[in-house]
Amino acid sequence: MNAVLKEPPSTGLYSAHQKVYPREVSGRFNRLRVISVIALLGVFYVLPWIRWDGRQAVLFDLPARKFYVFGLTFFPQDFFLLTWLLVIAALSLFFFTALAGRLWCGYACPQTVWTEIFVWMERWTEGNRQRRMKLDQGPWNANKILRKSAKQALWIGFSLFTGFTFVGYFTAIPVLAKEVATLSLGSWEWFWMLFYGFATYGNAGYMREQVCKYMCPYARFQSAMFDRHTLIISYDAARGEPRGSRPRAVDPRSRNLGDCIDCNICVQVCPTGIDIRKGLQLECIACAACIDACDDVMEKMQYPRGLIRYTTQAAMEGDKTRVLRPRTLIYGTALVLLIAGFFLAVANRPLVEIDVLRDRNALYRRLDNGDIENVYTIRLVNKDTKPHEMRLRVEGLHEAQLDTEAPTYIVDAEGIVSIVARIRVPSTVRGGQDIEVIATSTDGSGVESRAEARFIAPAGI
Amino acid sequence: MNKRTQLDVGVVVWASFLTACVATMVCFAFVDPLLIGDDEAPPSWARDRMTGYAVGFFFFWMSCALASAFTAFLVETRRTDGTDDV
Repeated sequence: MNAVLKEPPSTGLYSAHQKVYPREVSGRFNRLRVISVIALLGVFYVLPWIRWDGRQAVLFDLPARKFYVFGLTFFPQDFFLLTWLLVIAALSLFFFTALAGRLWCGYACPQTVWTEIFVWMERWTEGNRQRRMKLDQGPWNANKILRKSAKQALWIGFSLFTGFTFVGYFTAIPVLAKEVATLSLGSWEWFWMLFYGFATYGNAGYMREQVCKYMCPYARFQSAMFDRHTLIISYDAARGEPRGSRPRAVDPRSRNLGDCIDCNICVQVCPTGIDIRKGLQLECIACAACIDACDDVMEKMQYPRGLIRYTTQAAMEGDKTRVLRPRTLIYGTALVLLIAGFFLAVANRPLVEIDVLRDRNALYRRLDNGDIENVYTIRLVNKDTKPHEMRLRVEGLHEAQLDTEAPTYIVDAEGIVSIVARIRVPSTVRGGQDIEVIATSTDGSGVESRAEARFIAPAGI
Repeated sequence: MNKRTQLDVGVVVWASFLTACVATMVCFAFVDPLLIGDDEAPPSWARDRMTGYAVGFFFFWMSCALASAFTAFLVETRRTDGTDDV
């Protein structure tokens, strides 16, 4: 038979997934994460409710194609600013990774943050690690059904609220709240609310560490930013080994033991289920739960803290850790320049933007008196929150005249005006010429915006 | 579905989702869904912008998923001597 069609054996590459039951942990770094979770989720859930100048402070109004961020209004024409912002975000990730490893993963990633909340809810309803494991192994009795349904109710409710908040960034949230109360949401609002809610439920409730292990692109390439001076979480094998249990009163040296009492708590608290004592691993999201857990044990044993600690490869090998090094300096400088440039670009954004489109139907028209005429459609986009009265003129071509129906045009706040403009030149002009159309405000606000265009005259004979 | 196929499907769906998100954002930053089609008359599925965006998103997701699936299918090379262990 054809050997190619044989079903491949399913051993080797992919081991069966084992559910991780992270043990609860307390300590310095866990406190830091709790603060981070509350701050980040707080911002996410509260931000859409904040008002600014009588409207929602942060609203990405997709139907109207306008994006409000506090006092600023952005249009699709400002897309390069978003690209710029994403480049800044990517570079900050590089910079902080080079400096302090996977800080993002351990404290700020939405996956971590929402998983943390979902684990809390799991703990409230199903109890601590031991109880959760026992409950899962036990039979489906009244207690199990009650606890599991309570957990599901909390999870589903919170997921739906998350989906609702997410949609609230795109649809005015007070209106959305009323629609939810009366169940009169539009079909797309329904769809995206359930979609995002379901994604939260699945990712934070069930996928958890598997998202980091199998789905996250950052987890795959972050090691490229690492070097000997990057902060990592590491087990001090020289101090810990040989590991083994011992009574508290015994001096470990007398039994030829290191400081690790092999209590396995560092493994039990790990949300990705790894053993940090085996060295740095791809799965480690640098959440520092094992540091908190081990410090706790060390204190109980009256050993010094830091058997597992934040350190660098250089420090572990007895060298000095260098924070300032070419990698961090280059990332840092580029980051500062990009951020400064971004704010400059936002501050100097023209309040009224001008677009010039040449009429596609005719290259040019010769008038009765011999003059040559090109027709353009000019679009003025007012990004300001107040109206502006604008006048158009043309530059770059001698004796060119710009003619519009009205002498000036009023562009409403956040409004768009389309103007048909005719530009005329004497018959002596030949060939294609570069011109510039300028819109200037006549209301004394000093707004001016320019756009380049092409004027086409008959070719020279 | 064996374990390998499950994983392939997961990767295809996920990678194409991420790409489709970016593609949708870039596309509709420049294209107003109401202006798709001839003579500035939108096709029936794009009568309001939200529908236009959503249809665009799923179109991108589908196209990217097809490309991803095709890639996954092609790179899954197997030995012909019967010793394949993928």
